[in-house]
Amino acid sequence: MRQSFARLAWLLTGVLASTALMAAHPAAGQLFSTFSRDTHNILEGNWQSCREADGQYAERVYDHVVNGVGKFEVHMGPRREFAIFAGVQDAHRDHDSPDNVLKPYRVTLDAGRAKQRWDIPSLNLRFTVTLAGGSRTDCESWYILLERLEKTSH
Amino acid sequence: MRRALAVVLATVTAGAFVRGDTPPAALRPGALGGGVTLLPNGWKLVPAGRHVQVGDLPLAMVESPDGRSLLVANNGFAKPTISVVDFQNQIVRSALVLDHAWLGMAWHPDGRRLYVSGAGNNTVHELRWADGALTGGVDLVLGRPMDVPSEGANRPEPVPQSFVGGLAITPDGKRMFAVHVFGQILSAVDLLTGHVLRTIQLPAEPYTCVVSPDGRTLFVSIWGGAKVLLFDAATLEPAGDVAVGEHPNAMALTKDGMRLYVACANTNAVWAIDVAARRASEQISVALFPGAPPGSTPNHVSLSPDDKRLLVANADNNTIAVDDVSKAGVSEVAGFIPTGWYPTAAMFSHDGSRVFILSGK
Repeated sequence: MRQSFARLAWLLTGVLASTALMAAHPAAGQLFSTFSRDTHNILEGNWQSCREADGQYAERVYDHVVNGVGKFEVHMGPRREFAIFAGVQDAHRDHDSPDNVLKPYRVTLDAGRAKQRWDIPSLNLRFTVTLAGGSRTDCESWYILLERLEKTSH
Repeated sequence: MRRALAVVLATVTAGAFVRGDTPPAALRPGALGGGVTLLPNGWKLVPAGRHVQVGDLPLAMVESPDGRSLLVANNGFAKPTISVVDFQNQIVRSALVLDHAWLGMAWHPDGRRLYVSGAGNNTVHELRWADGALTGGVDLVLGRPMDVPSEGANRPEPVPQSFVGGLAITPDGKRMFAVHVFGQILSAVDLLTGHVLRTIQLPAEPYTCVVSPDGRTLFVSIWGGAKVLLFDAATLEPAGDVAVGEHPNAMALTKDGMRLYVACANTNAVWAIDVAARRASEQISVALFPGAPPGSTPNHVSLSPDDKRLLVANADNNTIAVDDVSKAGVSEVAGFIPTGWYPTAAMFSHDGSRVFILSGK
């Protein structure tokens, strides 16, 4: 587990704001590319965890903040690890912590393929990750989808 | 002509049955022997060439880089497969089973990766080719995949933006384009990272896409919109459109990128597009006889290695039209190759010495 990592704050002040952010064109070398088609999803896109300069696989954290209130944070990586924690804080949280609502937090491969879905009623979330093309020895690519477990009408 | 003959035969047979004590042995659709097949509609087919049974509704094929094998996508009722046909020995050497597949097949320029569209799963399979063997890989995911069906449960709900059809890869192998037939969108994918770089909305259902030899222009046939759209392949910004016949589908581009041939299934013709002028400059009739009503259903086109001959698969009259396209503006049918039932594709081998034809049914 990495003790230090890049942290990207993703501040959501509403659906419209999130749409604008997700529509940003992905730059070369970007680890996460969002899909902008379905604005009902909280987060959808391609995530790639590659070995960085220190030899460790990349991890990125997205904070879900609505109207100034930190709702939860999503950890992607390193490699095939994922974590979701209630609330938002600056200090790093270990993925094997009981506070990580994703269990198991490390996705296992079966015959070179992997797909995992977690339903999280406490946060009304459904999180799905699928190992995707673009994976190689030094990188693993994932399709990720974070959506509401119970859909609302808006 | 054949329709008329079929009607006459049916009338004579019915009359004989009324007058006789015992009904004559009825011909049942299927193989009649001697290379003749009777269709349910009464037509008899005597296809040319030698035949290898592949799979269920073969829709697309590519030749292996070493020219020894043909890889055929079977997309019918049964689970999709990619058959590897050893055409020297005329056998299917292997078949790779896929969960989802439809129409799109494209080699990466490295000759070691074959991309196959994943249809309703919103994926593209990245298959590996080595030493004459095809193996599975990890799928590129272009959108929410289908749920995995569970035993006893209803079918998974269709996913939005689904049904990945035709594919194209840039000559440098860095980028892939995929059309989503039902979703009416086009995705550009970075093949190094697997990331979807951009997705744009199309005006109607697309069929397939082709990249120009210089990698700068992307052509998309809009099956539901009777047009071909042009895009800047780097940005997916619109770069023009050309009206063609109804239900444009497969396309073939000359090596110099100057002429694009488009099969239009609701007509009896192939449209030839002058790419520089951004207009259709010629309609090449592939009807069996002048004035024939639409019904040939041209659904595939491909060029000979020297770009002088165009093969057109006429699905509904069971022929391949061989067109002489050596002189733009005066193209004409040189002849027809009789095929099996419902030809879905035809192409020359790399060296131009053979013609491969898929019979869909």
